[in-house]
This record gives sequence, structure tokens and C-alpha cells, in this order.
Amino acid sequence: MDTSDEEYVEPSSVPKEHKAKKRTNQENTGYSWEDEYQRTWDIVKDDDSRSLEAIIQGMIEGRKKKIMKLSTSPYQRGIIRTMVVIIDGSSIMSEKDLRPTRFSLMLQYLQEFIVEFFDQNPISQLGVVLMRNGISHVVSEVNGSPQYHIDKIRGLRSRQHNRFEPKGDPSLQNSLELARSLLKYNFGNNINDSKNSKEILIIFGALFTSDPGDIHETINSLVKDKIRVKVIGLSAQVAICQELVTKTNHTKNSNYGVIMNETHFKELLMDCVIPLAITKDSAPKVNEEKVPLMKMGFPTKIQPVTTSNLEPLHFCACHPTRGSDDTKNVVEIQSNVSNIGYKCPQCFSRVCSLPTVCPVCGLMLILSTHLARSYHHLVPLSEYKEVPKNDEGVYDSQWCFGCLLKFEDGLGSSRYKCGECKNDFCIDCDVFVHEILHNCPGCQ
Amino acid sequence: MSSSNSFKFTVIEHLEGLPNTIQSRLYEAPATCLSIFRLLPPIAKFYIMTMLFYEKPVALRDLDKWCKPNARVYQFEALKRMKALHLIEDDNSGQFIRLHPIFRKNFRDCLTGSQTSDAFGILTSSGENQKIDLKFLHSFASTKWETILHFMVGTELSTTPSRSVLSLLKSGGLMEGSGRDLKITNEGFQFLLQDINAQIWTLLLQYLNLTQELNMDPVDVLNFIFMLGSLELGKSYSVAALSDTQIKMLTDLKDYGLVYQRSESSKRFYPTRLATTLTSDSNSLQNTPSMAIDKANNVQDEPSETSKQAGSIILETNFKLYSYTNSPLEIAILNLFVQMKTRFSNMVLGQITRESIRNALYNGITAEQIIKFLETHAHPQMRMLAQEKLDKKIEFDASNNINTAISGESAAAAASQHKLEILPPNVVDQIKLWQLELDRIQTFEGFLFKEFSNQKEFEILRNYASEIGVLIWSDNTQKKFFVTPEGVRQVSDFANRKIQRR
Amino acid sequence: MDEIADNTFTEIHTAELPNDDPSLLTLILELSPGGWFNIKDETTILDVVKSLLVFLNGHLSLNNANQVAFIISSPTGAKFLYPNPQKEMDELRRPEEYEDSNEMGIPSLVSKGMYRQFRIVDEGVLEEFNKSINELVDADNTNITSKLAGAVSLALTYTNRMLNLDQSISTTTASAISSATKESTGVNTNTSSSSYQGLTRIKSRVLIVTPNDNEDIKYISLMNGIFAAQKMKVPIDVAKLGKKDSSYLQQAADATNGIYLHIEKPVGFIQFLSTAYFIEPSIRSLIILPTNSNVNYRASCFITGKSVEIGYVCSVCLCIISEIPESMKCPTCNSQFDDKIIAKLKRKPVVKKRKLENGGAEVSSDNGTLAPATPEPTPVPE
Repeated sequence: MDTSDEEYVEPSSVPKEHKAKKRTNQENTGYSWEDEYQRTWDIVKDDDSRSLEAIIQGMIEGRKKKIMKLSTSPYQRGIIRTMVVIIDGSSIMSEKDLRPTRFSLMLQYLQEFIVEFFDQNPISQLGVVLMRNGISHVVSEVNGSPQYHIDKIRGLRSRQHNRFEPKGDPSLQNSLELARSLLKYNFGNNINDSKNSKEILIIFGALFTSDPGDIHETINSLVKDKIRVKVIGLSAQVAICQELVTKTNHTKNSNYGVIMNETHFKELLMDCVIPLAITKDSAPKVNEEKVPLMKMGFPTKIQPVTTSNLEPLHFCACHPTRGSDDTKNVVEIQSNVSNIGYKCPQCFSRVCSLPTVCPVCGLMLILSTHLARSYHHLVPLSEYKEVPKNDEGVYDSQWCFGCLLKFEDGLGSSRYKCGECKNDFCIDCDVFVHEILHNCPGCQ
Repeated sequence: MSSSNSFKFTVIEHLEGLPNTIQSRLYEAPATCLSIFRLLPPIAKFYIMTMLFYEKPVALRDLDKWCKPNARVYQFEALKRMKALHLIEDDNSGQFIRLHPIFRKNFRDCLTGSQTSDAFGILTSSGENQKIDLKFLHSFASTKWETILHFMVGTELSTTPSRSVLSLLKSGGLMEGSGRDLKITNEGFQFLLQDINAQIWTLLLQYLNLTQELNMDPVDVLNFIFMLGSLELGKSYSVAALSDTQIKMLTDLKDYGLVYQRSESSKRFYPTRLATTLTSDSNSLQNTPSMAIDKANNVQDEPSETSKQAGSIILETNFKLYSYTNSPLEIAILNLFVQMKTRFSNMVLGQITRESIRNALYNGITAEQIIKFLETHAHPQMRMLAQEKLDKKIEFDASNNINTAISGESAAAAASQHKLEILPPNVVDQIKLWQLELDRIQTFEGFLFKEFSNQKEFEILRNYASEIGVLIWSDNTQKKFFVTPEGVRQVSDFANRKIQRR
Repeated sequence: MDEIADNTFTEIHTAELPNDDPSLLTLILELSPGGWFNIKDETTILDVVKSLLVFLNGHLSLNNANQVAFIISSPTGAKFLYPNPQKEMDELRRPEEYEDSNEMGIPSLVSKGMYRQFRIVDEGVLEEFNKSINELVDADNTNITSKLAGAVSLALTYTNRMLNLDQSISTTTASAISSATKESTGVNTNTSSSSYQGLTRIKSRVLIVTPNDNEDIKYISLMNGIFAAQKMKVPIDVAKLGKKDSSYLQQAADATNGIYLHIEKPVGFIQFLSTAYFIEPSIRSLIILPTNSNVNYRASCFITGKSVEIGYVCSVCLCIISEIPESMKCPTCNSQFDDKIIAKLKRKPVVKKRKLENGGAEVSSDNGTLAPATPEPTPVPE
């Protein structure tokens, strides 16, 4: 018994160790199930020369620097976006490889995505479509209100309404056609057609699609309509998705991602928040160098007159069906601000929320602040560079320009210099300035 | 968080109990003005500030206009406190109020820097043969104070607190017995659960009572205590500026660890951290301004300090409690209401049970105290989690406003509705329920309003009472309601006004 | 459970007061020579600084742990006056130094016996303030645009640090390690700004005091600052001295739930400060703010500077223009506009007519159309 035991262990242990070494050299192979078990204490390697604390400090800074993904080159982005998110509600989504299930994790992330999406793209609109049991349902109409979408998604998640529990097969074609019509319905015959980028984001769990017709035709019409499709796969790459993405984006870039684990899923999703750069191909061919001009209305706020005792009735052009079943949720959201309205400067009809397209005359209505929210996408702040020691081997600056934090003289520089104003910042300010403020305090 | 209010209330209540003449004399010291100001509720601070530079008396009705309707409770509370302290004075008509003139002058001088130069102690500037550093002061203060606490829970120690401390503990009813054989009382248990600032104040107020018996001037004593609160840590102050009473006090305060003096005859004394934070919130103990400046200058030079201040308790939804501590004091305190199970080298594990809580309740500890204690001593990780949850909630609720220009106000209103839940709510509720099991009957003192002529009149008055937060009970069908003794005047004034109108 | 829910029985005696957490006040004073010159008959910068110092003292007196910062935005750039890392404020000053400061023409506002916390701040501010005034005199006055946006940015970076001061080192280390683990598998942590979670135990606000009548603030930078403040829940209060309203700053205050007051006659400025601007964030939800909610979020044309009701927006840089320029080029980013689309925009005669009408109304909107939209003002306490 003894010998056999040893024999059994012996051969396997050696290559395993070998393999592990190879893996760490390669750094990242990816999938979480292929990974060695990670122990937190393995990462910290005690070095004689450096103190443990210093290493950790360095690690923190390295990480903070790394998580800032910057795109500093200003180029035209589709600031006004219309996006339809197609989510998979087929039976495969009740799979439990993502906790608690694929479906509920997806919905949870989707909610966060929606909040983030509208925060970063205030003048954009979004719609959600669910593919389930061979057909596709509209979960939420194309709309600019985050709360509306979140309420709808919450409705999907809640246990009581489990008529939307994952079931049946997905149909890509049906959903794509539905999404296409949604996108077309809203802006199809608008003269300023090219101003909004039309996008579809598919979160696809299944490995197949059961369609009523030829999906290639659908893809071709998507290309014709200049709708760009992104796909996030939850299990493996599917050829038809690859084709779909490649054709609609005209490039073989990273618009098709398959998740490796939960974090990666979220990361892929959040990547879609940043407005797409308008590629040469998708821009109208005729006027390559020329950019479109958009006509927009800046409506005035109508404040209710509170002097009279009567509660005045407010009607708005955007909710003519107020009170019917479909709009119940919308009304609820608006109820706290319902007596504030905006007046379209062109046709003087009243709308109750901005930004929107005037339902009467089709003018894009917007507040100047909404535009301002998007400015930082257009004028990105250049990256700060780590500061090397100067000739005498010391640093010029002693404290952070932004928050007056004194730089620690340890390893690493911990100073990050703005190229414009030559001020040094600490890592926290660097992150804050680039992710939230979008303004260099020194350059203004 | 709000636990710090508890000590403020006790201090203010004590001050309110003082006769008017003594209060007026107190206000003559700028340091005292500043300290009393700090102890007031936020709205009262705001009112005082608005009246400080405004020469004319202010109409009460104008003050009403400032507050939103939902803030009536706080407004009422603030006015009550200020009146009790005689910080505001009524005009004869009762329509206008003005600040106490002495308080006003001194507080103003204090802000504009034109007060007498020794109001905040006199620094000794030169000739220190031995520099006393902060570390020494901290360790001095904490050993002194912990000795007292250890003595109370009955830990075997080589040193016992001095006689004056013992007599103070006894006269305060925190311990009972004779000679060295003292036993902790119910009040003593409650005392242990309070945060450190409240503990110090409990002792100091007790000390005040004692000094009155010893014919020491309470104004002198109070002034000195309040002055200590405005001194700066790590600096030495000259004894010369103190009155005789205050010099006498120094030795006693040294026993509590509030000040350090090298010897009885030394010409200078050092306030410790316990003293300098007397008037500030306990949760900001490690965060006094001078230290924040320190921090600005050198990054986190005291991680050990903060980790010591931070709590160590993790409470799970299954009533299990872990505490990363090996201090016998903390374990002894936990033992008051937790059934301890296992002890490891760096942590203890216990279970909150009905029995353990009931034991504590029988000892006179209230559920509220237990919850407060757990909250203030919660592990930072618990606090972080709670904060994260709350942030998510707020962000979520605010997200519908993100896109509209009017987001600000409603978001703030929504944010104020959210509460930070550090402890698992089920445990908190259960502890409260266990307490309710014990006292089925609660008594309130107060006044009954009845025999209203019509429903409308009743409703107007009742709504007013609940608005200012003095309503205890009401019955719509019988048209009766019951208010607290503090609120009765306000309500009846209101009633008179309303009825006169008709 | 009913007993717990019944708040008349549980909460009557513990009326939970708004908690009195420490707060940070960041003051921004704009040093625009023109602006101060315009109101020289009403007040001087020195009087204002004096009042502000008393105001700072007042803030410090609220709570032992309260913090202040003082930033000036002078034409030479935005700068911290306090805190000042260059100097140890802790040293005792000799009497001679007090005399020195007197000689420099600034009367000493700080007395030796002042509450130390006050004195440290006041001395620091005054000293640096004198320096900056002198710098300003020496500097060439060719470039005198407002640096207010920079000052706001500075205030926010500082606030950001103060908000995160609480986070103990242990937790950041832990999270660094855990994400380092992820990193080695080739996965980054989430990059979105929603991951931003300040432990907001210390409350914070910003007060801007400016006499600047020129609307030469960098609009985009200021807006970025406003949105950041909104996210951090930092109210921006504004005290606008002088003759004109500042619509940008009005927007800043409105969007962040701050207070905007236009003080034409800053006599008794301290009373304004101690009343309207003394509302701590913790009691903001309880007090009716003395601010006018009627804020005009109008857009202004990048070329003419007039307010626009119907305008054109460049799809590259989002700049707003009220008329199509002759050159068919965007005035900001210089990209060539698509003539086809412009032709389309111009073609519709009906729309064009309308546009002209609006063009006429536009002019009057500068002074006229505001009036009917004016709602009942919220009661401004006296």
C-alpha cells in the first residue's frame, strides 16, 4: 500500500510545480478556473532592502495608476448615443456558474451599468430588450430616464413576477430586428440622422440562436442602418456573434468579449459606458472631413404659480397617455417634480423632463448643463507622468499641489507631474483629477 | 456618532441647573463661552451665530421662518436649551429675544481676537529642561484612566487609583462598599459602557458637586475645566495664571490623567489628550485640528494610534460576536452582556443570548446603551461595509435625479432619510425587544389635554404638539392628548393664541 | 415588533438631533483687481478679509475638529493660503514680528492671546495674503483672466483628501492585495467612477467670495468642478459682491445645493457671513436656505455671448453657436461643417421664419422674458 501511494503522488507532483512556475512567468492566462489558488500572503515578498510597508505602498500606487484607463487623444465621439441592450433570458441563463445565477448577476450589473451610462452620457437614450423563449420582449422603451429603466429591471428581478424567469431558446435575429426597429423608430426619419450613434449591446449567455429566418440578412440591414453591435459572451465565443460584430463595426477590434469571471464581466460592461469613437468607416463617406451640425433647443423652465389655492393641472406633450398602465412607472418617478416643466422654444409645447426630443416638432431639447457633462469626453485631460529624481538625486517638490500632502521619501517617486503646468500631484489626487474632476487644478 | 451627544446633554443639563447669577459669571470667561457654545445642539449654534453680530433683538417669529416645518422639533429643543442657559433673553413682550449681553460680548471678542490675553492659558515659552513629548502624555493619560476602569471591573492590578478617585467613585454611586473593598454598582456598569468623554464628564460633574461641599467656587472650577478643553496638546502652560482653587484642582486632575505636572511644585502643567478633547466629539478624538495639520505634514505617522482607537467588534446576524482584543478591560465589559465562549491570543468569541442580555438589563444597563456601545466599538470593516451599502442606496435613490438640473435639493433630502446601519438590524431589534419584555409598563410624566370643543381644534393642537416633538399619546375619538412637561407651556401658549384668534 | 415601530413610545425622549460631525470649510477669495476696484466705494478687500477671518474663527468654534482651508484665486493662479505646508505654524511669534506686519501696512488682526486654533489660522492666512498682494503688484497685468475654476478644482482635491482621511491604512492595504491578486490573473478592477466611495464622515463645503463682474471664468472647467462637487455632495456657496449677478456661479450654487447671494452693498459683510453662509451641511436639510431657486440654466452662444434658445451644436466639440458662421467652420475646434446638413437646416422656410422670430425674441430675452418666469421667491430671512 505504502509504495503504491508514493508512486501515485510522485509523478504528478513534479510537473505540477513546473507548470505553476511556467504560469507565473506568463503572467496572465486568464480563466479563473485554470488559475492556481491565490494566497494573499504569497504576493508580498519580503525583500531585505525594502520594508514591507514600503512594498505595500508601492503596490497600492501601482494599482491605482493602473486602474485609470485614459484616452487622452481628442477625437470625435458619438456623444449622443442611442443604445439598445439585448439581454439573454433563455434557459441557459439560470446556470449557476455566476453567482447566484447568470441571469440575476447580469441584471444586477445591468442596473449599475445604467446608472453609470446616464451619468457619463447625459444626452443619450437607452432601451432594454429581453430574448426569451424564442421571441423578444421590450423590457423598457428607449428613454432617457435612468430610473425608468432601473424600475423595469427591478421588475424583472423581483421574485413575484417570475413570468420572466429564464426559459426556452434565445433568438438573436428576432431581438436584433426589434432593436433595429426601436432605433429606427426614434431617429430614423430625423434629418440630423448622423448625430447620434446607434448601438446595440448584446449580453449573450447561450451558444446558439434559433431564428425564424436568415440572420445574415438582418446583419446586412444593421450595417446599412449604421448600427454598431457589441457582444459580451458569458460562456464562449460564437461564430455568428463574431461575424455580427465584425461586420457592423467594420473592424476586427475588441467589440466582442467573452467573460473570464465576474470582475471581467463587469469590466467589459463598464467599457461600454465610454462613448464610441466615430470610425472613419462609419462616418458618412461623402464628406469625410466635414462634421455635422446639430440644431438644438434650450428650453426655459416653467415654474408653477403657487399663489392660487387650486392645484393647477399640468399636461405635457411627452406623456399624453399619462395614467394608463404602461406609463404608470414613469408617472411615479415624475410625481415629485411633476409641476416643473420645460417649454420647447420652437413649438411651445411643454415637456416634463430633459433631455428629450420634442414630441411635437422633433427638436432636440437639452439643458446646457447636460452638454457640459459630456465635455470631458471631448477634452480629455492629459496623463500625469511619474516624476524622476532630478540631477542631484532628490525630488524638486515636497508636497502635492492639489491636497498639500507631503510626499513620502521612500522608494518610488509617488509624484505625478502634469505636463502642462508642471505641478506635482500625489496618486490620490491623480486618480481623483482624472476620474472625477476632469480638470487639472494647476492649469486653470 | 450621536453617542457623543449624550455627554453634551449631561453637561448642559448640569449647567442649566446652575442659578442665573453663576451662569452670568461663567460667561465672563471667553474660554467658557467657547466651550459652552460647542456643547450646544447645531441649530442653537446657528441661532447664536446669527444673533452675534446683529445689534437689534430678533423676533421669535423670524426664527420660525428659518426652519423647515420638519425641523420644528430641533428648533424647539434648541430654544429650550438656550433659554435654560439664559443665553437668550426675552423681551418683555415675549416676542423678541436677544443674546445674553455678557456672553455676547465675550464670545464676540473671542472670535475677533480682542479678548484679554490670558483667556486661553499662558504658554510657558522657554527653559524646558526636559521636553515632554506627545507619546509620553498619551501613555500617561491612558494608564491613569485605564487604572480607574480596571479597578472598577475588579482586575488585579499592582497600582490602585488614588484615594480621591476612590472617594469620587463612591460618592458618584459608581461603586459601593467600604475601604478598599469596593464593589461596582449598577450605575457603574452603565458608566463602563459609555464612551470615554462621557465617562470623564461624569466624574468631573461629580467632582464639581464635591467641590461645592468643600466651598470651592464652582465658577472657578468650571472655568478651569472649560479652559482645559481649549488648550493645546503637547504644550506646557504656566501655573502662574491660575487661581488658588485651580491650583488645588491640578493635583486631582492629575489623578484622572487630564493634566500632567512633573511635581506638585512645578511651574508648568501639560494638558493631555483627555483634557483637550473635553468639549469635542469623542469620535474625533484622534482627529483634532492640530493633528490634522500634523497629518498634512507627515503622512500617517501614527497608524498604531488609529488602530487602537478604532473599534474591534464584529457582530454577525446570527448574534455571534467577535472582538479583536486581549485587553482584560474590554473583555470584562463585553462580559456584561455577552456570553463569552472562546478566547484566542488576539480575539475573543462570544454569543449574544436572551439570557446574557437579560442579565445586563437586570444590572440596570439599557438596550440603548448596549447598542450604542456596540456601534461605537464596531470594527472599521463593519463600518465600511455599512457605509458602502448606504452609499449604494443613496446613489441608487439619487440616480433618478442625476439627469435633471434640480437634483441637489431632493437628493439632499433623500440622503438625510438614510441612516447608517452598522449593526445587523435584526440583532438591534431583538435586543430592544428583550428589553421591552421586561418593562411592559412605561410611565411618563406630563399633561393631558382634553375637552376640546370640536375636532378641528383638537387636530390643530395635536399636530402642533407632534410637530415640536412633545406629543406622547393621542386619541382621536376621545379628543384627548398627552404632552411632556417641557412642552406644555409651548402648547398652551399656542392654544391661547389660536383661541384668541377666533 | 409593533412596539418598536411605534415611535411615540421609543423616540420621544431621544429626539435624534442632526449629528454634529466635524466639517471642512474651504474659502475661495477671488483677487481680481478690476472687481475690487469697482466696489471700492462700498468696501475694501481688507475689510472683507477681516470679516472672513472672523467667519473662519466662527466655523472653528463650532467644533473642535472642524477644519478650514483658504484659497485665493489671483490672476497669477490659484493658491492655498492656509494650510501652508511650507511653514510650521506652530512656532511662537516674537513681539517684533507683530510690529513687522504692522509696518507692512496691514493692521494686525491677530492678538497674542487669541485662542490658538484661531491664531494659527488667522496668522497663516494674513501672512500669505500679504505676500500674494505684493506678488500681484509685481506681476505684469497682461493676463488677468479669472482663475476661479482652478481654485475650485484645488478646493475639491483638498476636500477629496479630507474625505478620505478616515480610511485606515489597513483596509486600503487589504484591498490592494486582493486586487493585486486579480491583477496577476490579468484582470483589472472596475474602472468606473461609481467605484468612488469616500467615507463621508467629515462634511464639507466651499464658499466662494468674488467681486468679479467679468464672466471670464473658464466655463468647461468650472462645470467639471461643479459636477465633481455634486458627486461628492459638497455644496458650493457663493457670495457675489458688486453690481452684476454671475450666472455661472449661480448655476454652481444651484446644482450643488449651495447658497447664492448677490450682495450689492457689502456693508456689514460679517452679518451676511454669520447668517446666510453659516448653515452647516449637517443642518442644511432643516433650514430654509436663503437662496433664490430661480436659476437660469440658459446656454450662451460661444461667439456672441448672448443667450440662446434655439442654437446649433457642433458635434465634435459640443460648442453652442447661435448662427452658422460664414466660414462654415466651428469657431472652437475648427472643424469644417457638413454643408449638406447646413443646407438642410437652412432649407426649410417655415423653420427659418420661426428662427427669425425667435431671433427677435432672443434679444428681448436678455431682459424681458425672465420676468414672467420668475416664481414666488422663497422667503429670505432677514
